[in-house]
Amino acid sequence: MSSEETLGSALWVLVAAATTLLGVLLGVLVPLVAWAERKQAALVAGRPGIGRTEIAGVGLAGLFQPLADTLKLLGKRGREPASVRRARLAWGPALIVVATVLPFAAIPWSGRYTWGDTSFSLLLADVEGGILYIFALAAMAGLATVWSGAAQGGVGLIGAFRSAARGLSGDLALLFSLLPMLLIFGSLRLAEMVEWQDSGFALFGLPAALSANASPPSAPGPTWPAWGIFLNPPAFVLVLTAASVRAGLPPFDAESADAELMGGTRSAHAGVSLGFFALAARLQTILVAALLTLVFLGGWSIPWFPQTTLVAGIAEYLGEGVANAICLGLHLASFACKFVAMVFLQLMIRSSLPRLGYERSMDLCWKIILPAAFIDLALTAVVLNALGGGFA
Amino acid sequence: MAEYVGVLILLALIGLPTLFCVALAARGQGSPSLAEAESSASHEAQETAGLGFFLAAVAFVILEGAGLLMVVWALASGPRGQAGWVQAALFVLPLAVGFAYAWRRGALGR
Repeated sequence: MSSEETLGSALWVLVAAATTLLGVLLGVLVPLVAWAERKQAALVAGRPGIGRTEIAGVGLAGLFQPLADTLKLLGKRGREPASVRRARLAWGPALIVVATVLPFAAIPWSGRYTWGDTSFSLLLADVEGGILYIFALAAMAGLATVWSGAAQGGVGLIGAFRSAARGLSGDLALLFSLLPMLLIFGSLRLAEMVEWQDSGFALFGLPAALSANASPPSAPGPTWPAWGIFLNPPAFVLVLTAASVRAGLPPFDAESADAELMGGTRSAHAGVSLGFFALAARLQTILVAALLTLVFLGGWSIPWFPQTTLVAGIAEYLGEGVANAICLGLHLASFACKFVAMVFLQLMIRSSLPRLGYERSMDLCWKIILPAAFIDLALTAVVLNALGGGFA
Repeated sequence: MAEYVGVLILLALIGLPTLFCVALAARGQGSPSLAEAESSASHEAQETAGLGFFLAAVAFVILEGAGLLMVVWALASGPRGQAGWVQAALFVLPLAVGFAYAWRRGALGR
């Protein structure tokens, strides 16, 4: 095979991977999250919730509701006067959607497996910037939100101011609350972070390390999965909050409040454009859940069964290739469990807390998360130093 | 840079359909619209931002730049020695003092 042919086939693999990723995101995950959002809000409020949509007599507990919502949204009439320059308005929501889809290219959904003499992983683009690339695009989406509000004037402009203030604060808080994790992992790539967490640490490692004078102790006693949430629990809470503020997810969405701003940044949008906002909000929920899973819950890793042990154990009976395939399946199931838990956590927060005013979101970021992140960083640095450079 | 090919493909896949939607909406076909007389005139309002926003924005620029430098430090310190920690502390301490000062002077609002 010539090098050009390799390049060509690799390109087709990439195109197929990107199409699959987009299909799963928009066709499976977004409708499921939209459904879960309404179903769960109903659960909390003690209502029966959605469930009257049917296709040929099959209801599936209202699973077709997102489809019906989309169709309804397309026919929604706009409120903008004919004199509004529509082209200027239309760019905002479209850019938000693009900037929220692109981060998923750098999200790894599985580890690296070998099948015959090919090795693969479910990761579209192994970007070196990793999590910084995702932050950059999240900031782009924030900018596009500001733009789509500012292009309207009136309540949209008020929403734009709120969203700019809230976005900047969330950005700063997110960066600083994630710093301790970067310090622990020593990498920006999410896949490397998960590989790092795919191990265990000695439960009583700190005293042992201190008494052994920072030489690597021979891990006595029971081990525990070395997930980010166990190594640094405060960082999990801080990152969850800061990421929700950054993305402007409820209850931090004062810029698009219905009651006081008539929808704020989205007030002049209707039809497809309004649909883009709803789509982006669901994508951001998915992105935050995936990030939390990867950084704090060990991603696809299975506690107490590192990939090498798992593959070696199954390969003894079924051979290397099958072992890798089974491992991939188990890892995907593990990722899915944690991912669903993280989506549910976000929905729970969303339906149980009232919407915060933008100035209170800012206060939360500047006066609570930022100092707490500084303290967390200092503590992490001290503990890491005491352990001689690492946890595991 | 080869890893960005995947990003570009994804950009094309999501960008082209949204571009199409933008074109539709720009021509007024994305959604049915009310007639001019029926719509509200709230779009004419103006808004000004308070000075507090600018103070917060300046603090943001300073701290965000410092935060990015801290990312480099967190990744590069490798086998960390005492010296690395002292340098980081020397960098963070003035920052924290400045932040506390700005907070006390009311730059972050009350």
